[in-house]
Amino acid sequence: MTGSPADVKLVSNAMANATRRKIMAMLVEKERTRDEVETAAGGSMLDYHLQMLQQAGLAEGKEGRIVLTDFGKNFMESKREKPAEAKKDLAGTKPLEVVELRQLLPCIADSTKFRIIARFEPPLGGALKLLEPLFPRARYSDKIGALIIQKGNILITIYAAGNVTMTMIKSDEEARETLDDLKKTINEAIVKGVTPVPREKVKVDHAEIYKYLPKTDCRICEEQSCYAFAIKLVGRETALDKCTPLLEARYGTNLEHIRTLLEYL
Amino acid sequence: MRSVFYLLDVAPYGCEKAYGVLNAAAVSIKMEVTIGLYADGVYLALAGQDSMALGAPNLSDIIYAYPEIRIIAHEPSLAERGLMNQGLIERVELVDEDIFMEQILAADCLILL
Repeated sequence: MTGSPADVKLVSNAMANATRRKIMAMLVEKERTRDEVETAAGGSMLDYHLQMLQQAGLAEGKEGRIVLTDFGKNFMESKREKPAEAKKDLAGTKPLEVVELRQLLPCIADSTKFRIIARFEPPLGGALKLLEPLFPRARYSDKIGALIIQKGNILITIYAAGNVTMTMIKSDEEARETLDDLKKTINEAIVKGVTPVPREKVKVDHAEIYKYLPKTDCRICEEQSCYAFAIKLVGRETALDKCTPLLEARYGTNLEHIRTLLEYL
Repeated sequence: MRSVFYLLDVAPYGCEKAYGVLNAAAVSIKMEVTIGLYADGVYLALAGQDSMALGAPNLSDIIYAYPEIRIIAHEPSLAERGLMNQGLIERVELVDEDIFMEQILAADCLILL
């Protein structure tokens, strides 16, 4: 490994796969036989995953056993140290500017509104997660590596790479105002530090969910009524997709509301 | 129908298939939607796409704009094309052959354009 950008990406992409992370975690403890790795990580794609780890210079086969390379050991060691080094504040983060704003397709739920894509520079990278407390309704999703903020009906998604998307936007003017507010809040936090705002108590009970259901008691979901469906939905005893009438165009906005509410359960 | 899997196996920008798949997926988000990038389709996973010179829409914008759409890339296809050492769009999941097939089989409907 030369440490070139291409090598770094090769290692990063090699470690982006859950099976390979599992194999690496096993190898950190001790060298393993192929059978041991196969038992823990599954056999059908094992050769492929080992080849990927070998190409990235993280592991190798040695006399019938699978071992970490020196580079692999150092890499895993640095990963172990990472939590202590994780970014704790916004020191060194540069103020943001909106460099691009474009309108995309109309929203599915309401064709009079749009999805907007914009771009902040410089990208927030690892600092993004720290911004969650700045907003009354926000959560950081590790899965997509983005901060999702709800502001009224508008759903804002900020990615670490600088892309920002917004749904349910009425006009360019509203998009610019929303982005400017966002930029101002973040830039103030960069200067003054993150001051957590009171978290908005998101009321997610069955009555709140029921408000957005079709209320037809059609029983397609196999429940006695929409109210019973709402109760089970909140209790995680049923799934939203069982309410197929919600897929009708007239319930588009309701569906988006329920999905957002369920995120807070 | 509750879930749909769109399979994209051709490179973006050369023809309109990738644009078509992304738009079809965008209007299907009331269902559980997955786009599977396979063979030359994995080029859509590359970060830093710039389509200005082509006069075509930037397809990675659509990927970012619709976080509801799950996007998986067939990792062996990426490896075969030497793309494993390239920057990829962060929200594209890399999956092996088995998981890619599992996802196709798990969907109620498979669509190829």
